Amino acid sequence: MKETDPRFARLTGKVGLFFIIAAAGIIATVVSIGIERGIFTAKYRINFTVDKGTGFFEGMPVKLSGFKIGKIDSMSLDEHAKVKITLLINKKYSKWIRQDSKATLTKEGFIGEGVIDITVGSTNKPLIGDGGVIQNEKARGLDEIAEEMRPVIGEIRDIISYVNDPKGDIKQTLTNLKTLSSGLNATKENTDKLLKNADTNISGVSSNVSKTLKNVDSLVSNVDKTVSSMNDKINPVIDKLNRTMDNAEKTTANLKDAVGKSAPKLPPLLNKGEDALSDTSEVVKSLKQIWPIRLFIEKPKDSLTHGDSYE
Amino acid sequence: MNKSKQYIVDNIQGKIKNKFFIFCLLLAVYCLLLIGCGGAQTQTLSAVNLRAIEYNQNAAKAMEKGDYEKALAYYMEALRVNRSIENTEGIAVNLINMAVLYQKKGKTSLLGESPKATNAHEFIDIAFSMPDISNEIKSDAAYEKARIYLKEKNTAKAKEWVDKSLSLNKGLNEGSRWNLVGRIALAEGKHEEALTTANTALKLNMENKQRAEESNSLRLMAEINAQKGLYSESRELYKKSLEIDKELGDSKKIAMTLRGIGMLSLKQGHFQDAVIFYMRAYDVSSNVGDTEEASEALNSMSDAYRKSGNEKKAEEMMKKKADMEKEKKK
Repeated sequence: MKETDPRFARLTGKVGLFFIIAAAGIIATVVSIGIERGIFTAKYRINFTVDKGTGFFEGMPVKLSGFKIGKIDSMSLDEHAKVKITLLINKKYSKWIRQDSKATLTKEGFIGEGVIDITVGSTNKPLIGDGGVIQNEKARGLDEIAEEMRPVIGEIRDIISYVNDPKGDIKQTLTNLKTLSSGLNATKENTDKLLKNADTNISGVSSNVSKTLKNVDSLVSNVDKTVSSMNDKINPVIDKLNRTMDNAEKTTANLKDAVGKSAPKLPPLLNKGEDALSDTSEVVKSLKQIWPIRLFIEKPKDSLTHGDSYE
Repeated sequence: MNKSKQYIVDNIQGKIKNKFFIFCLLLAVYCLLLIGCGGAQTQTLSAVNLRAIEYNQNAAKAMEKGDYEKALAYYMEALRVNRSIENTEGIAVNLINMAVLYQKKGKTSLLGESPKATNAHEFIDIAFSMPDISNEIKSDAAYEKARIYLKEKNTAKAKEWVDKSLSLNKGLNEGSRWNLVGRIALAEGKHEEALTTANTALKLNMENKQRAEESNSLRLMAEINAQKGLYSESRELYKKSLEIDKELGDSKKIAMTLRGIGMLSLKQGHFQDAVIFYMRAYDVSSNVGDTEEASEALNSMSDAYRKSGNEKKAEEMMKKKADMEKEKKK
């Protein structure tokens, strides 16, 4: 039977074409995902050994300078019950991974995913080839972070003992200032008395004035001496504070480094969080200032952790 | 006609009443707004200050979850920010918190005896000598110092510092200070003094609704009674303490109390009971990941098996303990 309806003419061809286009679309999608995921990229394997496999998992990203260059391909126990970790790395990044490169297990921020961070090797060192071994560096732990506290504690202690020292420059300067202010009070009292007597005894006034002026002169000279002595004493104080500030900056840099190494993405994470929350916090901040809401809001303060009496 | 007049009058009166009511309402709102706007403004904190507080609170949350690494990093940030604005109270609070954190790790120094090691004593010494800090903070610093000394078994020094803490400030935490006084007395073998002090602490903690410290007072009393040979009184006190520990969901304390009851059963010669209590303590500790407490429970379990004559099981427990410690060292 011949198809007479013009709408169904060449139907087989049309359906075939539809399937071909659909199949081509699917293949293109698969290929593009494959390219995106690096399935068709040439890869090679390198490995390292650790005592414990805690924190590692198959598929864990491997990064170099924060850029993903591969993943953990497999994990297995060797004959010494140590964990052998094999990394699958994109071949095109092999030029950066050399004999002095190190692989470290780290975290993307405190709450982030674990990653293996590989350091860029020196150009004069040979490349690590397929099946080669890369050095493993233990990530910084609590002990290492705590170690950074030593200089901080030393500095705070110095400042506090310096401020609290009764024979120190600061306390001495404060004592001098007290003496100076009591001298000024006596002068003020003298002047007040003088003005009271002004109407009754002009001659007395002139003699009193000359006496008082003498007092003022001696006081001014004392002030000059005290100020110059204060300058002498304050200059070393400022020098010391400047030195301390320099040290504090260095220490802060060390601390940043310590925290950065244990959680390299903490500052960006916090910044990102701050950006995202800034609008909301502005609104909340304004609301908190509105009466009567503000009456019910407790002023935030540093929370003191109370130690347990049975611990 | 009269009826319609009456209706009109009623209607007008009703409208006047309504308007008067609305007027009064508006007047009240106006007055309230006037009071509100004229009222004292709350003191606002600078952005830097708030940042320091945020770090401090993040650290406290991390410490609560047992993530000490994260807590220490946050406390260090809070300390840095507070130093940048010379906030002495903030510096002192964060130093005290770090001393608490060190002790939670079961150590007074995180780096052992290394000359590089900072230790809890140093944090407290500095916090205590900070100028311009409140007596409340000073009292807490002194209390922490006493806790550290007690851990180091220096009861004389611990007593000196806890007394200092009590003389500086009492407040809601007074009960915890008396608990510590009681523990010091117990460590010195002064049972009667310890019991009197624990009773004072219990009363204060109940009044101040300090449930965790209330449980501590009960546990302390149970321990004293156990040492005095008053086993049934001791068991009752342990049970009350356990109830509070469970209510608070404090695994460490639950395990500690269970081990206490186990020890009591052991003293009474109820070896099978003792094994069960120790087993429960081990289960709690191992599930919360507290290897130190779990290891202690295994040790006690081995002791109970040995006393019951089951040498094989006792050895098994010791082996398990050794394996656990080996795994921890890795």
